[in-house]
Amino acid sequence: MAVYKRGYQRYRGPLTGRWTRFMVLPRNAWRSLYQQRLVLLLTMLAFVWPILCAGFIYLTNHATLLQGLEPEFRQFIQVDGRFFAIFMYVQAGFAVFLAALAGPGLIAPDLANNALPLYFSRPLPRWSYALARLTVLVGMLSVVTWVPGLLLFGLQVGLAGVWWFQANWTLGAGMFAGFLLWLLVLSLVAMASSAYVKWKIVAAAVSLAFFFILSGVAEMIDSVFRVTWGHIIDPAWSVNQVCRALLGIEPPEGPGAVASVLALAVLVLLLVVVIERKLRPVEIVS
Amino acid sequence: MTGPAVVFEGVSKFYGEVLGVNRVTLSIPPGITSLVGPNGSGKTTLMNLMTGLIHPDRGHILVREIPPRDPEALMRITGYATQYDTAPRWATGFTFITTGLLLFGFRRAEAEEKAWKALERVGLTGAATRKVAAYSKGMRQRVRLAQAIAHDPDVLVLDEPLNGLDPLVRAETIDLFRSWAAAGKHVILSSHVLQEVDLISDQVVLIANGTIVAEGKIRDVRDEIDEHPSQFLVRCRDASALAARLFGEEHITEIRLTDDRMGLLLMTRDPERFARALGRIALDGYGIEAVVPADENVDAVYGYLIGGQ
Amino acid sequence: MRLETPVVELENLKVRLGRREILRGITCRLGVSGTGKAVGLLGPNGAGKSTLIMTLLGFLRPSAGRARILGFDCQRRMGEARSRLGYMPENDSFIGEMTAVAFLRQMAELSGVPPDAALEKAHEVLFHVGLGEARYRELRTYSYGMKQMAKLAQAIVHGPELVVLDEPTNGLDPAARRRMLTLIGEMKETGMSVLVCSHLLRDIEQVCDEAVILKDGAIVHHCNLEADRRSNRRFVELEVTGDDRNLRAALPEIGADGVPEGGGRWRIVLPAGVELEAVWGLAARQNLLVRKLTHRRDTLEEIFLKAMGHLAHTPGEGAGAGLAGDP
Repeated sequence: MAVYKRGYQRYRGPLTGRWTRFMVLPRNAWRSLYQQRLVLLLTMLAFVWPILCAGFIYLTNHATLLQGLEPEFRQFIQVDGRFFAIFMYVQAGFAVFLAALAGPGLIAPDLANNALPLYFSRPLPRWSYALARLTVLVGMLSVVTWVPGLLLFGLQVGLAGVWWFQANWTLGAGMFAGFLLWLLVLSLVAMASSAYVKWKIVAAAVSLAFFFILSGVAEMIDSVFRVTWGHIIDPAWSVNQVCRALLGIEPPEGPGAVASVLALAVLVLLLVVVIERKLRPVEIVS
Repeated sequence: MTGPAVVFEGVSKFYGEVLGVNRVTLSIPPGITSLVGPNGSGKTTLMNLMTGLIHPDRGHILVREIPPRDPEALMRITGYATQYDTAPRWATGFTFITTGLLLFGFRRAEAEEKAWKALERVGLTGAATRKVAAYSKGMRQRVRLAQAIAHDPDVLVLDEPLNGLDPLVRAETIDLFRSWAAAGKHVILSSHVLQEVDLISDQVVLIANGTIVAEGKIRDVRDEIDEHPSQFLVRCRDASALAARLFGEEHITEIRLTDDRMGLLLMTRDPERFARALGRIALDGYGIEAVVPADENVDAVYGYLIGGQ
Repeated sequence: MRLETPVVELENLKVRLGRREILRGITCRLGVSGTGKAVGLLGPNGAGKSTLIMTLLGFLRPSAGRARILGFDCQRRMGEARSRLGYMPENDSFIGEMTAVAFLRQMAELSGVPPDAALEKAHEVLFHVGLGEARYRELRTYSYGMKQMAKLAQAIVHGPELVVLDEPTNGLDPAARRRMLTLIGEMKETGMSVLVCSHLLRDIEQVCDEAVILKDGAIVHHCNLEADRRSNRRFVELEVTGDDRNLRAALPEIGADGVPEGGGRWRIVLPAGVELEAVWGLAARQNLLVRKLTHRRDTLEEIFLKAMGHLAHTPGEGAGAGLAGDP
């Protein structure tokens, strides 16, 4: 017979590496986010359009099925830049709402009760923490944007053949890059509103409103001053420009792709600065 | 009973279903009285009742003959420093106190003079023109104290007034309390630091689960607790031999040797007989270096009556 | 051959906050890593205790000089140091929507504990600090005392070598305070070094082996409490019942001297060669019952007041001076 004198024993085992530690926050966040019904529902809904698009791709590649249609119509049903653009618009829309759902819970809970010192007294540098939070959103949004996008692209390549790939690989790359840009902007805006706004619903509203308001203001500037450069302040518009340029479609009137990229770079920088100010373990009050 | 008292008679207060205090009867004389008890035991409720912020569901309260239902009269003689750490955003230390005094009806000149005096007494004159929001924790504690004393009240009710103060300021504040007690005022404070309660209080009120568990001077309270024999700690060179000798005394109920075998922890039913016996035995060369009563302090009494809940 | 690494090592450390210099060139070595001792950090408000802790944790940069914690430079090698550290902040610090177990598990994993071990340790530590029954509840439902314990739990869950505690007993009721101090003692027994910052000198006295007193950004006193615990045998506190009016006159009979403090309490100085037995004999002859008799050592409070300049000599020093045969 033995009496076990167990109780609390100090942990003396091996420590995990940097990447495992980095992924702790994203893993936990994903686990708790996907337990929310709304998030799950929205994610699933976001797959409806890709599935429809997949059907479309199948159709266009099986000419026999299109026998009975007019030639002009057949011209219309092509897997080209416009097709991917429409795909991107829809998915980008879902991404906005998902970001608004998932964003508020990113940083606000840590700030609400002063938990940052607990994080930063651990081997977790500030930039690592911020990047981990960013990863949460970017990961979630990727699942509904470029992942199905690239799958569709792959499907088209598979059905249409290598020659199609050689002619149109820019479409795939452009879609990927365009989505990434949109995700980056979305995620940073969501993070910033989570860092500055305590209440989740308000934070969600703010991250949505950010885009709508800027869009509205851009329109106002354009109509009041009768110019076309108003849209430079509209990030959604800027991303749109860039995507259209990458996909090779006609851009609408207004600042070109290069100007848009610059505007977006400025926005990203501003957001990073704004977020960094909130991630301090020590508040210095003068 | 010397002087006017703060009296509770059969007072009960409930917040809906939640218990505040349950049938409390108490008479607090002037001097420094400490309220001691676990969190949620009813200390803050008692203080709010005393200062008229809430009214009892049952029973009467009289603060120096004034019932709390006469707020005009009551507020003039009581000063309350709560544990809640909020002040208006716009307030500097000075304006915080002056505004309060203006509400009392003092004219501006008099209010400002009193405010300065109060700030002097707590040692905040240097920071008086800075915003309260920029104060450190200890400074906010002191400014709350200052606003409680500015109008020269007779009854001071202070909720954990020493919390967050560094040892120097603690000592100064305790001197302040003593000077008020000497002037015949009531200083009623709550504290968790039992050693300090021991040192500064004239009487102690132990409260748990919304009822008064004990009140009075600490030694009297201890003496009244029959169920527990008195504990003493004895250090001596030859502890086992001393223990053997002490076991022969019939008022001793238990003796324990300390780990280093140079001391005894013993329990006796009769402290006076024990002192007499020890005085005799000490002359027989056991090398008794120290005798200390182990449980005549608030800490021990707290442990007996309230325990580790 | 292992050199003894001090827990904290400062070399002319200067730290600024905004325009004000808070720490003005501090040099010291505190503690020895791995020996399970506790160091107390004391000082009035504004002395720089929090600033020092923030610098040691790497949250603030020194403007001059060096700071090392567990041998790691606080500016350059904090990444390695932090997996061996635990920190319990003074203010409220928790994540409301997480349960205690989830919270501790995440914190353990962030400190480098593998995921399955992290879950085990989370439960173990929660039981150990007394939050066993409440561990599946969200932290925002916890009472103040429970949140303090949860803060302590997250500081030790990953088995750090050094734990930094900022006002650990602040606001705790007596039972919780006792539990906290006991826990700190147990932590020391497992070999953890502890750095405690507190205003409650009794707590520091009870738990720490070494204490450092800061004032205006400089160290004014560094005492070894363990050594001080060896009592000053010549300085005695006596409390008697009975008529003690003649005691003062009678003390020279045994060669001693003393001062009454009222209520039967006396402070007596015994010169060399006079044994305590003489005091017992004297009490017996005066028909006095001895209630309390103890050697007095300088309490931390007296040491503190002297360091602050409020006391010219601590009583222990005064007693010693009177006996050394000074002219």
